[in-house]
Amino acid sequence: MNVYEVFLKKDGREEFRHVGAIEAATEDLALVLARESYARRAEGDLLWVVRRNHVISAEEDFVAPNADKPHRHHDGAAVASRRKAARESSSHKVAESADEVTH
Amino acid sequence: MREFLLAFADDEHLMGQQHTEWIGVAPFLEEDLAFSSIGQDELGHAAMLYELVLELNGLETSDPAISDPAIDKLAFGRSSSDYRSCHLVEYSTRHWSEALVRHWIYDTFEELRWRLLIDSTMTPLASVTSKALREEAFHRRHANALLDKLLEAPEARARIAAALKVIAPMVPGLCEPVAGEAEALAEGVTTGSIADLLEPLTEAANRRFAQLIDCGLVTTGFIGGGIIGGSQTDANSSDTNPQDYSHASSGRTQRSEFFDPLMTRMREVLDYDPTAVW
Amino acid sequence: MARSWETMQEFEAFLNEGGLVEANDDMPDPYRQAVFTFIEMHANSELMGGLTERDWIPKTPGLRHKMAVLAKTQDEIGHGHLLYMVAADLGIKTRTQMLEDLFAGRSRFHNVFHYRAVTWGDQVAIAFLVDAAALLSQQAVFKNCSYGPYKRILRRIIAEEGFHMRLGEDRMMRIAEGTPRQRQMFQESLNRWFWPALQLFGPDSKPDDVLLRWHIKSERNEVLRDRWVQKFVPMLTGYGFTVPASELRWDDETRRWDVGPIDWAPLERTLAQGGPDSTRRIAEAADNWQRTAWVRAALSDGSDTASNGVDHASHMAAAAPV
Repeated sequence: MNVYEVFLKKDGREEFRHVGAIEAATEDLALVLARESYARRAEGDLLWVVRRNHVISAEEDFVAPNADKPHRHHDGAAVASRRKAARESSSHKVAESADEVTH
Repeated sequence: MREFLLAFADDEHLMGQQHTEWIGVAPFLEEDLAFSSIGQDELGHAAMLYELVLELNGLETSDPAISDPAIDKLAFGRSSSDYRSCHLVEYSTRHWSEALVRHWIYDTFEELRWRLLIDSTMTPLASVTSKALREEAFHRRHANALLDKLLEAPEARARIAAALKVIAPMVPGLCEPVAGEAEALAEGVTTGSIADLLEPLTEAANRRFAQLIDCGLVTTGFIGGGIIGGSQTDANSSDTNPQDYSHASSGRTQRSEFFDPLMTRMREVLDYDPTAVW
Repeated sequence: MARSWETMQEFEAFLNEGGLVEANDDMPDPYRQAVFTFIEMHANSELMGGLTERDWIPKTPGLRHKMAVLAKTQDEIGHGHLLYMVAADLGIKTRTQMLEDLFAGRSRFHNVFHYRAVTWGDQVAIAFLVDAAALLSQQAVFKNCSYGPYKRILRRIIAEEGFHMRLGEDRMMRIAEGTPRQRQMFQESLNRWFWPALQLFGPDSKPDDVLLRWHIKSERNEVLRDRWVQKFVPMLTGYGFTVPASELRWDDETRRWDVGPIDWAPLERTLAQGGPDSTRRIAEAADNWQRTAWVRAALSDGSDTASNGVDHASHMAAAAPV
């Protein structure tokens, strides 16, 4: 028997999601058994099974340094505050230019 | 026509019932879930087929409060002699190997049987058929995936051969039509006789169980006459030889010894208070 | 590779901040053992629940009704499966060892599954009262559970238990609106199952309960038990059934139902002696397990799954959003 990790996807709506694991003797049995273990109510319409020991996993802190990269996160706060300041200092100009556009 | 539909419905009903007897006690948990689902599918087919019988009688079946009790009357409330099930589905298995072999044989047959109805002139039957066929593909895949692996192992092979010895003689009865089939053929409700399915079913079985034939555990004619080679000790141990079901049961009008005890058990709560709605 | 904690204090601080532990973390042994024992008992209970129900499935009154009941029992077996998978990844016992310990009477499950379902009414009472009690406990565990794989699988289990409770309630209502014989049958079932269902929550939690301290459970047993009482007592009396508690009273001041003192003696007897019906069910399951050993042997080619890359387990599980 091998352990297989089971993934389901609701087509067009979400990414494949890990839902659990099963034990199975062959690939075809893994698919057949995964269906009734995890998708009895059609919880997904696409199904993957992956042998657990075929998964290549990175060590725990492999990704961690990337949690501290603020320069990759332009969340718009800076832009919003600049826009606000600009609006307040020259609101009439903005309005004029908007009028020009509508004309 | 009623008898024609009932024969299929009764087969599906009892087959579903038999499969679900394994809930909680299958060989491993994943298999427990899969086999129970297959049993539920067969019960669902039975309910749809009983519903078609009711529609023949002019009953409006869109309201479950009306149709469900009427379905239950057909499923549980007829006299034994009015049922048209085959002996294969009435048989209570003693071993999981028998349940597996019967599952493969029944579902291989069932798929062929549905195919005869896909172009039925009875439109609701044709639509039930297309739903059922979608489910059947999974049933067959499940049985085959298990057998692919199990037939590689010597002990499992011997046990499956012993199970075939019990199940195979009941197969001609499975392919035996009811008297009402002639009418269904004449009206285009079905496009062929289930009697003609014995040959393709036998061929498929010879291919499926070729490893057993190669090992001399069974002969190629194992379905037709119940002739099994290698008469050494039974791998399923202390079994006494079961009743021989190879005789035809005259248009499915005879019930086997297993039928009455099963029906009594299934009716226990219904009989407790016949006026009750549960 | 995995996370580790220098001291128990550090680990507990992690838990108190809402940290989720994953299967391949280097968790303290007492925590690992406590989580494992808890999940194993939950898994056993699901399976034993399925075996309690299985006796009555063939007798289900109605074909479509039977399909619904089968789907429910199938879910219970499925929950056992999910939980055994999660428990096995803790590396204390394999799935096979857990099942064989259960079948040999060496491991525990909820007291309620020691009893026999005597009538069809019992089957409905279990689906209604016991499933509701189980659901309340599981919701409380899910809410704040510190063990990630268990928390994730509980979400699915809870969703399915919701189906079961509604099925049970639907069937109970049909009986309540039904014939005198039906109502009498269900009243007798209530008399048998009310107290065992209530005792599913167990005695009052001890102040030093590590399950609470480590956020495996999030609420005290007595709190959950009371929640169940407040919901089910009015529901049952509302449908015209009698709650079998001689000292039952409505407290006008607290505006709560009080079922009176709880007699724990039957529960203790059950736990000590193995229960009135569990021995038979376990023996039957053990016999089937042994009789189907050839299937597992043929499928496994003689190898066990014990060391099948357990290290990957939590990485995979961690990928699933909660």
